[in-house]
Amino acid sequence: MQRYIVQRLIFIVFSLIGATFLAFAASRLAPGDPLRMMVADRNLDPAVVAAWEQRYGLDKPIPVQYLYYVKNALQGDLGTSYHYIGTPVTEILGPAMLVTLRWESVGLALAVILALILGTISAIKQNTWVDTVTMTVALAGISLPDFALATFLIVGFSLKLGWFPVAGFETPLHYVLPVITLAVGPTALLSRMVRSSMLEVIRQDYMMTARSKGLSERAIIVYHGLRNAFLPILTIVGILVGRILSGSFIVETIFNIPGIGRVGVTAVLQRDYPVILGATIILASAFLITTFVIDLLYGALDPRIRVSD
Amino acid sequence: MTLADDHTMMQTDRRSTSLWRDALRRLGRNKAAVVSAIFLLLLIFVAVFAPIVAPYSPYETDFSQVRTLPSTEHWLGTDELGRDILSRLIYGARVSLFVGVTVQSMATFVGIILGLVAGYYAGMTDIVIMRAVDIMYAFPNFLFAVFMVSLLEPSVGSVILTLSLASWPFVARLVRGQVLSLKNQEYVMAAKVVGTPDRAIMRRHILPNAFSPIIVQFTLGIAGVIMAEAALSFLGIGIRPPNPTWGGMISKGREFFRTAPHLAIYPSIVLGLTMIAFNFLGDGLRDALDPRMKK
Repeated sequence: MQRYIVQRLIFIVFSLIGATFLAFAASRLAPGDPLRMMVADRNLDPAVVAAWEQRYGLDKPIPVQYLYYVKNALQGDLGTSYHYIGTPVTEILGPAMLVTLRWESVGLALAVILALILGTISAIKQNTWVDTVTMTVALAGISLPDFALATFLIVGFSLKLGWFPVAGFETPLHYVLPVITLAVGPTALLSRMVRSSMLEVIRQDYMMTARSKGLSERAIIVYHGLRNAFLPILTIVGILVGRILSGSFIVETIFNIPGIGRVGVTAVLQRDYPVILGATIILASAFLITTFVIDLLYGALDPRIRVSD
Repeated sequence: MTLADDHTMMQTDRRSTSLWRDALRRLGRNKAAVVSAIFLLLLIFVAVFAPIVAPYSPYETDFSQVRTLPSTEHWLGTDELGRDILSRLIYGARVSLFVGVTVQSMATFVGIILGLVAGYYAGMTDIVIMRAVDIMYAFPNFLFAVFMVSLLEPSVGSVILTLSLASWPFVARLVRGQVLSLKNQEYVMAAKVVGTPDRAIMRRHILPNAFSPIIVQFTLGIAGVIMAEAALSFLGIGIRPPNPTWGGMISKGREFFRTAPHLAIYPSIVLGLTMIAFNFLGDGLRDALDPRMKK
């Protein structure tokens, strides 16, 4: 188990360095380097530009620039915004990330709970109409793009029925539609996963034993079934976190939520490279760290992994 | 003796075609997949023959008819500049399908080659290629697309490049996995023993046997790419207006949610149906090509 953790840790650190370096180098090599793009229409003296380049370290080779960037990043400094001149990137992205975490964790939790219920019911009622309907709806749910779904929800629930506000992020009512938009895809994906692992678990010998002990069907499903079906689900949650973080770009733009996704999109439109790079690095790191934590949980929850290692 | 030769030839012949014919038959029994395939064929037809099928030009504005509701003249109404929504949807299908198929073809081509090489040669080659794949996997996929697009000038070309870069690792990892499980099979060993060159082994003996999952991934991958393109256009950082894109239409339509929701609703429906069709078809193909998967 220890060897496994160390191996995974090395892998995560390697991926993290690779990904951040790739993002950093790409943003430096992009056509029209950021500084020049910023000064292009101001007709600055080349000497001034050179001084700026020196000040921001843009005259050094990219790997050296990267090392400086990482050194500063570890101290909580991601540079300053090009658009809001002088404002630290962390001051822009920090609060935004908190907003995103707040509403997206609600969405993920909702998805996991709903999926456990729907998937289990589907598995118990395998090959009945309940199962068919749930799984068909689930496949449709996986396929429906976030912004198409959001369009339907806003037109239906906000404009026609007037139940929820169209956009914004002030009251709990503002959470409802974005959380639903976010949760539908993951719920659909997860409930299919829950169903298939439940089906596998139901056929295991220990389920028969539990039944012959006289346990009620509900107790069997909850204590034995769900517990064992939980492991494969955990893997999917890792993938879902990536999908949800990506989804924040769209859902936050639609519902005008001041999270990292909307800030990121605004930065792209403004060509605010330090903010874009910061957001990319923060999100990729968040994704990798979640994957690692899930790996650890996986090892902790499944004794077989520890024994076989 | 020729008779015997003929006989074995006929046998192998029948076996190789029946694999695909069986798959097609199984696919035909899957109603959702059949309906999806018909829908997609229709969509492809409409996209290819857009200039003939579309009632109007997708760019032609008519300021006397702005944001009108569906009528006999404009079946799905007109948008904020008086352009025919149906025509823009039809030309939008062209953009979506073109981007989807191009990106997925490029990603599949690159992914097959790198996956084959990595899996077959193992060692250093494998390590280098797969570490590159790992790094790409570190980015949530759409995040990578947003990031790349931000660095390039917005155009169809840069969207295609970006999404191809984001898509190849999935194919490479899939193909490598297939190669690893196939390369120690006896018939591959036999081919090696008789001195078949590596390239021929990969092309003739390994690749055809890895084809089923590649086809499934290709179908599902197109859906992913179309969705990503639409999302980029929706955010205003992908293909620029006045090019007709579904994502762009939904984005523009959002400004008129209150007065003319149909501007956003129709493209959302078309995009949603297309996604669902590709996913149902991909799912059906998976079941049809690999009967063991089905319980």
